[in-house]
Amino acid sequence: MTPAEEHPVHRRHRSPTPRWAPYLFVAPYVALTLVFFAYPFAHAIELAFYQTAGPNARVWVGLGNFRYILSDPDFRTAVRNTAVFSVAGTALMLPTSLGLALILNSGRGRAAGLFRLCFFSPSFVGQIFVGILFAVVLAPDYGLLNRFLQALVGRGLETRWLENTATVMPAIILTNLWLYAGFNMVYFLAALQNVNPDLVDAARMDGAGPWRVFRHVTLPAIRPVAIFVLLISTIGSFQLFELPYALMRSTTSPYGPDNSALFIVGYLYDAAFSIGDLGLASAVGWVLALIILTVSLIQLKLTGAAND
Amino acid sequence: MLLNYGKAPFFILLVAVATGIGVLATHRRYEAARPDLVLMTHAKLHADVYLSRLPEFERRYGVKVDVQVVEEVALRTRLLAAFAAGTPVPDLVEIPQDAALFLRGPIRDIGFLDITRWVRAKRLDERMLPARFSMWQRKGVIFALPHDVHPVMLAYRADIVEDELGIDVSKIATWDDFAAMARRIVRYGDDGRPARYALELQDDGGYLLQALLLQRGVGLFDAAGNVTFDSDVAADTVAWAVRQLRGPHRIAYSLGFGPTLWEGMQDGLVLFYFAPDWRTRTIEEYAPSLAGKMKLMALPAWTPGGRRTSTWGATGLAATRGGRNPELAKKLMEFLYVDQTDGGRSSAELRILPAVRAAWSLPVFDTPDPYFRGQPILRLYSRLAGDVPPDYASPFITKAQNKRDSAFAAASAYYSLHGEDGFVDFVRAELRRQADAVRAVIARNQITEQ
Repeated sequence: MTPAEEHPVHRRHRSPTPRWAPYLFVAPYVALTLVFFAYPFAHAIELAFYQTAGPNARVWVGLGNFRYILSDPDFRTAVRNTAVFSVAGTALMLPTSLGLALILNSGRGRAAGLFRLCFFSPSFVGQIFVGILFAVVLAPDYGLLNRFLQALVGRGLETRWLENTATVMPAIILTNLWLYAGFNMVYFLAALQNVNPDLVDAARMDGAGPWRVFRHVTLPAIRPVAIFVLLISTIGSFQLFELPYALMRSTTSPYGPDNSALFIVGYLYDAAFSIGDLGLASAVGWVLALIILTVSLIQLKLTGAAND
Repeated sequence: MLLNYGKAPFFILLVAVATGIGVLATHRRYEAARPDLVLMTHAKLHADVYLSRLPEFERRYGVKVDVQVVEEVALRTRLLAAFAAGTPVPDLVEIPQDAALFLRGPIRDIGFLDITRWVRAKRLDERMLPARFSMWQRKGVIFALPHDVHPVMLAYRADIVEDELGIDVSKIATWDDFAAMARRIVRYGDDGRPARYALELQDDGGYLLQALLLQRGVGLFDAAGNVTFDSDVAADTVAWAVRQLRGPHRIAYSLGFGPTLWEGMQDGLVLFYFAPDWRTRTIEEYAPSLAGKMKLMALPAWTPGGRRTSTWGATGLAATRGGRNPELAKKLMEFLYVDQTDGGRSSAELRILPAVRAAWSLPVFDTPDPYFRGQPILRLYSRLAGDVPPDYASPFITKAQNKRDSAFAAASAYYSLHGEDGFVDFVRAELRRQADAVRAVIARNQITEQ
C-alpha cells in the first residue's frame, strides 16, 4: 500500500477546471467595480481638496472647500430644508404607507388587487414625470388642487404653492407622499401578510381589541420592515433632487423663491453644473455622505436595530 | 472547460462575444458613414430650419452635416462632462445664454474655439449687432456667434384694450403712463379681488424682472464681469415691480409659464404680455383662439424719450476645440447665421430677428401677420433692434440670477407685511446683500483670474 492509498483524503487529484477559472468569472465584475466605483470614489476624495474651473484647471485648497461649505448660508439653507423634508416627509410617509397596507390587508379579492395597483402605480413613472404633473396640478387659478379648494371652501384659487416660501415645502412633501406612499405600502403589505395568524387569534381569544392586537402583535412583527422603510425613506430624503427640480421648473428658479426648495443635492448640482467647481461639489458629496451615515446610525441606535 | 460550471457561463460568454462583434460592426459602419460636421442644438425648431438649408451647404462644399437635438440641460451637462473627460464632442454647438458656465477657467482651457480673429477679419462684429456679442465673450475673446437679437415688445389683447375699452396705446410713452392707463383695465370681482389685470409680471422676479432691468441698462454683470444688480436703478425697478404685484392699486399678475399662462391669456385675465420675437410664435401656437385679437406695441420707456425695448433670451453658435474640422465649422457658422441666401425666410419661419443688421431690411420681414391683426411683426421688432441693450456673460450668471430673485422674493414679503414703510431702503439693502454673496463666490475663485 502506498502512502497515497493509505490517506485517500490527502491525495492530490486533478481538478476538472483550471484554478484561474473562478478569477475569470469574477473579472468582469471586478473590472467594472474598479472603473466605475473604486476609481471615481478615490478621485472624488482627491477632488474634494481642489478648486476646479473648466476641464483642466485646478488648484489645491486643502480643507478650503469644506470651510466654505460650512460657512455658506445657502448650504445651511439646503441642510435645513433637507432636514425639514426628511423629518416631516418620513413622519407622514410611514403612517400613510402602513395605513394603506392595513386597509388593503384587511380586504380580499379583485378590489384589493386593483387598489394595490392604483396606489403603487405612481412609482412606475418616476420623479421627473410626477414633478411636471404636479406643477400643473398645483398651478394657481387653473390647477386642479386650487379649483378643488375653491369649490370646497370658496377660496384658494390664487394660491401659489410653488412661488411662496411658506407653501413650497408642503407642496414638495405632499407630492413626494403621493409618489412613494404606494411603494412603501408594498413593503408593509408583505410584512403584514407574514404576521403569524395564530398569534393574532390567540390575542383575540385573550380579549385583546383591534388596537391592542395591532400594538402588541402586529407592530412587533413588522418592526424590522418598519425600520427598513424608515431607513430608506430617510436616506432617500437626503438624496432628494429630481422631484423639486422638475416641480420648480415651471417657475423661474429651480430652487424656489429665496431658496425655499434648495436641498443638499441641489446645492451639489449647482456647485458642479452652475458654478462649475467639481472640487466643491465633491466636498458637498462627502459632507452629505457623512450626514447620511450619522443619521442612519442614530436611527439604528434609537430603534434598537443595531442590537438585533 | 466552462461547461464544467454548467451551461450558463458558456452562454454568457457566447452573448458577450456576440455583443462585442455587434458593437464592433456597428462602430465600423458608423465610422464609414460619419458626417464631416456634427451640429448639436437644444432647439428643435432651429434644427428643422437648418435641415432645410443644409443641402445647399453640403452641395457647395461637398460635405455631409449631421444635426442633433439635445434637451437644454442634458446638452449642458453632457458637454461639460465631455470637455472634462476629453471624450469626443460635436463640431458645433448651439448654446443658450445661461451656458456661460463654459466660459469658466483659464481662457486657454475653454472648450470652445477662440473665433475673435476670424470675427474681426470678416467684420462680423460690425455686421452683426455688437451688443449681442456681449453674451459670448470673456475678456475680449469671442467664443460664439450670436443667433438673434430678441427685442422685447408688449403683446396685448387688442379686442379688449382697443375695441372694448377704447384705449389708444400709441399715447402710452412711459411706464407711468402705462400704470395710469392700467387702472382703467383692472376689474374687480364680486369678492373684491381683481378679476382682470393689466400686466404680466412674475411673483419670483425672473425673466420679466430681468427684461425690465435690462431696459434700464442694469444687467447682472458689466463688461468687466463685476456684479451690478444692486445699483439704485435696480432697487427702483424692483420696488416698482413689487408695487405693481402687491400694492393697493396692483395692476400686475403672475401666470407662470405653463398651461396656466395660455388659459389666462385666452380668458383675458391679464391683457399685456412681455413678448420677445420668439414668443410671438409660442403665443400663436398655444393660444390659437386669439387669432386676430392680439397686437404688439413697444415697451413703455422709463423716462420720456428713453429706450422702448429690452431683450429676453439668447442663443449662440460655438465651434468646439475638439472638433475635427474647425475651418469647415466656421464656414457652416457663417452659412447658418450670417448668409441670408434664403432671403430671410428661415428667420421669418422661426419668427426670430437675426443678429445680422443687413438682414433687417429684407422684404420678407414686411409680411403682415393675421394673428396680430395684420401687423408686420418682424418689421416692428427690427425697428427696435438697434436699441437692444447688452447683457454681459459671466460663468456666475445662474448664481447671480438666483440671488437677484431671492432679493425680489424678500422685497415682496417685506412689502406685504410693512407696505411702504422703509420699503425702498430694504430693497436696496437686500439687493446689496445678495450681490455681495455673488461677489464672495467670485472672490473665492482662485482660477479664473490666473
